[in-house]
Amino acid sequence: MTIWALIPLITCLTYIVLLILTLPSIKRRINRLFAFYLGVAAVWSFTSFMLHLNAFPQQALLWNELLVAALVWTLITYYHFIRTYTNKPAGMGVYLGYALVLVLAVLCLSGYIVQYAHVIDGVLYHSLGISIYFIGGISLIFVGAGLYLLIKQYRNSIDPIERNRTMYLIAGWSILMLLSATNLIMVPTVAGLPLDHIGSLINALIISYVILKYQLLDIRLVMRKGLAYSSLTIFLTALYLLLLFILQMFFHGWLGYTSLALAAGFALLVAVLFNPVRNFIQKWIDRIFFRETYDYRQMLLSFSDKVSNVLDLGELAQSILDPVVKAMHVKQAALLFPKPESGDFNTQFAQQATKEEPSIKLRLTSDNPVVTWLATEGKAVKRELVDTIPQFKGLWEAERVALEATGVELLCPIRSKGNLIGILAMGKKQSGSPYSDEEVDLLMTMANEVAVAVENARMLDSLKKQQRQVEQLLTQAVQTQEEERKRISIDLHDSVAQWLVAASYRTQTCNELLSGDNSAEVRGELAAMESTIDKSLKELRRVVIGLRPPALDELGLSHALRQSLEDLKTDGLNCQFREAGTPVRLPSSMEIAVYRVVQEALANVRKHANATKVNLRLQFLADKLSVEVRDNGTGFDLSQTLDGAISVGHIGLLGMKQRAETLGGGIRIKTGKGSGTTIILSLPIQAQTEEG
Amino acid sequence: MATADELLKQGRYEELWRRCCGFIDLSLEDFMKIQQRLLSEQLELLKRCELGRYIMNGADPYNVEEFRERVPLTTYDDYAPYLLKKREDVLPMKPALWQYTSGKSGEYPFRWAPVTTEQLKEMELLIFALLFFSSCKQRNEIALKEHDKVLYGMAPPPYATGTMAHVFPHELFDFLPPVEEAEKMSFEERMQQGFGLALSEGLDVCIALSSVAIAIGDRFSQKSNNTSIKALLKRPKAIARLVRGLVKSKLAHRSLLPKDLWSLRGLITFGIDSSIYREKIKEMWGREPLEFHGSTETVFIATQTWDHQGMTFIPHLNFFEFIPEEESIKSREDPTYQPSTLLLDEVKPGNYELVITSFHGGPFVRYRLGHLIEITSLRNEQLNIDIPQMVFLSRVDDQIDIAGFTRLSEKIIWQAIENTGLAYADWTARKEAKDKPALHLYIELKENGYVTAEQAAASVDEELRKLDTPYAELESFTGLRPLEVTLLPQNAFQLYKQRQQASGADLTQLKPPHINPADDTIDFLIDTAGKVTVKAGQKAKV
Repeated sequence: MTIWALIPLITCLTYIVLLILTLPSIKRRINRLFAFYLGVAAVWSFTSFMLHLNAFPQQALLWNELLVAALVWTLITYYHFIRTYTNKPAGMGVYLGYALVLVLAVLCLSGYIVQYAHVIDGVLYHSLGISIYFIGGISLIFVGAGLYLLIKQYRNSIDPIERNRTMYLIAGWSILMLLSATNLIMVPTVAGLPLDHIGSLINALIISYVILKYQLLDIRLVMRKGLAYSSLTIFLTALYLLLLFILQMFFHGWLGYTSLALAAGFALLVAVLFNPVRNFIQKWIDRIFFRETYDYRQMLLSFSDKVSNVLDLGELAQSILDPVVKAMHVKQAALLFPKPESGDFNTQFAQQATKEEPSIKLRLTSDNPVVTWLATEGKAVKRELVDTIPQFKGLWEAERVALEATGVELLCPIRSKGNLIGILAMGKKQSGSPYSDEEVDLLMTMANEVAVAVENARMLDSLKKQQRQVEQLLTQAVQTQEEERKRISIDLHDSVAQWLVAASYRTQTCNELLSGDNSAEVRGELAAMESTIDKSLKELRRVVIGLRPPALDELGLSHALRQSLEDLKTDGLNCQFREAGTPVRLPSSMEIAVYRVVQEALANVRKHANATKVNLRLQFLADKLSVEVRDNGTGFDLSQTLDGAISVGHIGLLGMKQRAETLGGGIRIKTGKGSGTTIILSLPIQAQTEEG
Repeated sequence: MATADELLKQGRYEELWRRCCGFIDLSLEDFMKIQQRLLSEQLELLKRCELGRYIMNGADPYNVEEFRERVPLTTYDDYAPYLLKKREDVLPMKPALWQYTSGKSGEYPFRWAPVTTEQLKEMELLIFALLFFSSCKQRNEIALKEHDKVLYGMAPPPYATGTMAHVFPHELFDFLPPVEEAEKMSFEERMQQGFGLALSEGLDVCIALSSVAIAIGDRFSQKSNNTSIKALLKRPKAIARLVRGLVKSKLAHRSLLPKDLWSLRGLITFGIDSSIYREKIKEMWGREPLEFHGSTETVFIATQTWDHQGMTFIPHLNFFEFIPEEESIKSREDPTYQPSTLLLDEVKPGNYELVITSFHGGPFVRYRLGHLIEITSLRNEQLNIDIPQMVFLSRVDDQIDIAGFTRLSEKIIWQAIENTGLAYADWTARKEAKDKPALHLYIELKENGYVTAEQAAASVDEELRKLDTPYAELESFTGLRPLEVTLLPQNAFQLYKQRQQASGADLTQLKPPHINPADDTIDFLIDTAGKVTVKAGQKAKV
């Protein structure tokens, strides 16, 4: 066999391997067409191989005739594939082309095209007569049309991935055409060589590259696994045959059972080698496929072992994001965690491939359909599915734009015990190619494995934060208690005590006066004493009200809250009070807690909000009480305020939260700079008696 | 991201179906979540614009409950000062285009409504959904392909059905005639040209007003015996199709019908008369028409699916509220009465007046469309759709109240006339009370419709009694037949149309209303038309 027979053989085998790998994906039209093209191209290469092999010189003419028809068939099939790739229907041209192939095949086999054919030293000497112009002309039309379609597609496309894909196809097609054109050269030593098959082989390799790099047909996983098993089969078969060959060479004297036993032994050896060799080959192919990302991918697969003991959230995030960015070759990635007060998911940690890349800054509200989907379905969401999943019809336009603007391509849920505890947001890949299903699976595996570690770290983080808050609250509580005691002490000392002392003196004076006959003076003294005691009483009442408002006990929660709101009107605010549901009396501890939370909220409105309008809404539901304080003021950055609260000792919001949580309820705060503030207090209730 | 066109071209059918038709697989809970979320978005937009603040009358709702509690119900009169002047500066979102429908008699000839880019985007996907539903036999089946031939027989822009044509995926399908040519033609020219091309090229999908679909069928059956061969000689494909059709019709012993010429893969019809003509259209075209419900103000509301039964609500274009029929009547009798509304997850089978709030920056808020619909079931058992199903009954104001016993809608009267089998050209009706309140029906019979007014009245009365129980009871309780019929002179409606055309009236005003026409309309139909004789093929001067 000469090198000129070997080239079409290799090309043919390459096409067959590609065909086998494509077959499982032929559900899509484009894949089907591509598979068809591979099959036809394999036939063309095979005819060329048979011709150049020259095993039966008397059949050279027949193989040459078949070769001519197969060549034109291949060109037309590839043109058909290009039409499909460029979203065009087959059209009359393609059908006409196939009809011409049929006519050509009949003419060839009838001996009208190839006049003679001989192969000498691998070089084909033949004559097609004037039909070469006819065949060349037809081929040129389809070649030109295919090239035109590809160039047009390249120009019209704005998608960089598609442009790259198309560019490679143009390059492959051009090389194939250039080398195929050698068939038209009238010098036998050039035209007779299967140079067109070198072009065909290069084209096949380029297509393979486009499949791998730009997911031309979405068969990457099949191809990777397929290549591994093909290589394994070739290697083991070759090994077995080699061993048998050696056996035959050196032990040809041994006959019968010994030889059979040795052959069986070799087969056993091959079987034993199967697994280690398969692993080795798979690893080798994976390395070729994934190049420098291979080690990081391996790291992702064994992630849980490495991160199970990491309890620092920052450290954990780093150890997730760093390999993810490198393994996937992405521009950026981020971890989003929910804010305890709102449940909204915000970017907490972000990593970029280079400093130049912008980091992902994303905020997904707790009721965002994407968040709901990730939480309930537990599946990753690719950006392209945002317009496809019907539940996402509820996305706001601004949310769609924000998602688009951040460059997020993939969102993977991190779930623990069925709850969504975090989101891994992946940016665009540096190659611009989309995420394959295999990559999504890898990321999901990793996300599932790190979920427990993430939850532990977040719990620890949250506990630390809570601990700091509790410590701060305790300090504040002790301090407040001391200040309150001091105030009551001073108040009582400076007022009631003084007046009661005075009253005491006057009582003594009365005593003395009553001993004589001066009743008028006694009356005067008694009146003064009465006044003093009245003042004392009023002051005492003021102190008592400060400790617990009597309106709360006497008239109930609604009236007390209404009164608090009335006080705010003196500051010029437009205040509205609304009540819904059937009012009921609540346990005293609950009423005072609600009252204090509202007082704190209103105090904040007065001090910080710069609002003109305040709405207070009290709602009695069957099983819960809801109080909402809403203002139209400047709003604030909630996270920043809460984080800063501890450090600067402003713990009003934390105090409110603490009060609500003590009673089994909670506080929700909706705010943002320039959009007012809404504080919603919810408490579970067990009604006592009807109010009022 | 691939567009719907590209998905179809690439054969990614599952993805395409999910994107366009996936809403039918939502649970009611998911449906309501979409409604509530998009309402929140819309409220934010409304709060920021002049029209929104004006319509909401100072209310500042932030959830559905507050919205229903504080925002008043509205009618077009509330929007007229802004929308009739096309004031884009006051709207929640800048519109991409404006569309109109007929207005309020004597006050404004048209009701203009803006359509935003976001609404158009959703419309395009829903048009795909209609095409798929009309042509499939099961879920996820996409029976249409690139370059299918489409005939579009809806009204042109700026009517809402014209907007549908605007967003229709033109490049994907072959329009008959091509859109750029069709835009320069009158409606009649377009239809004529379209059918000429359909005869040569074939026809896969027909989208038309029900009345147009019927008119085409009628025209075929009438012309089948005198087809001009000479005109067809230049088009051999058309001759072949026609010959094949004629053979089919002769074998079936009937006149030529569209179904003899084309095997449609999709048929979509629109109009109040869709359900009345359904069987007739099916008979003519050989395919059951797919109906959908919408309006100028709402774009799409609901659509049938491939079982051609009730319509499924579309969650992402409008927020839906429903006024129970009794409440609706009460509020119309007493305009100060504010009726309560129900949401889609609160309704039960029964009749309701529809109230909508536009999403995606549309202007309408708690807008009383005046559409009376029936919730036929809370889910589609056959197709396993979890969303309540509806049928359109009538316009609320297109009803004739007879002695407080019954309210006859346009649709019921039409259905009754149709069921009699009378050969009629057109009709109109109103309540007239001389000695007793009665429905007075004015019918123009076709040339071959030989019946007396009394015979016609008896037939219609019989059908009405079958269709409307309260009507039958009224007759049995009082012993009086609350129906009178006047037969109009030949061509009365044609003459009316010509008079309207001569006065420059719009397409929707060429025919008199079916319900409650004005006195001068009735006078014209009876008197003036009676004095004019029109020969076939001639135009009368009125």
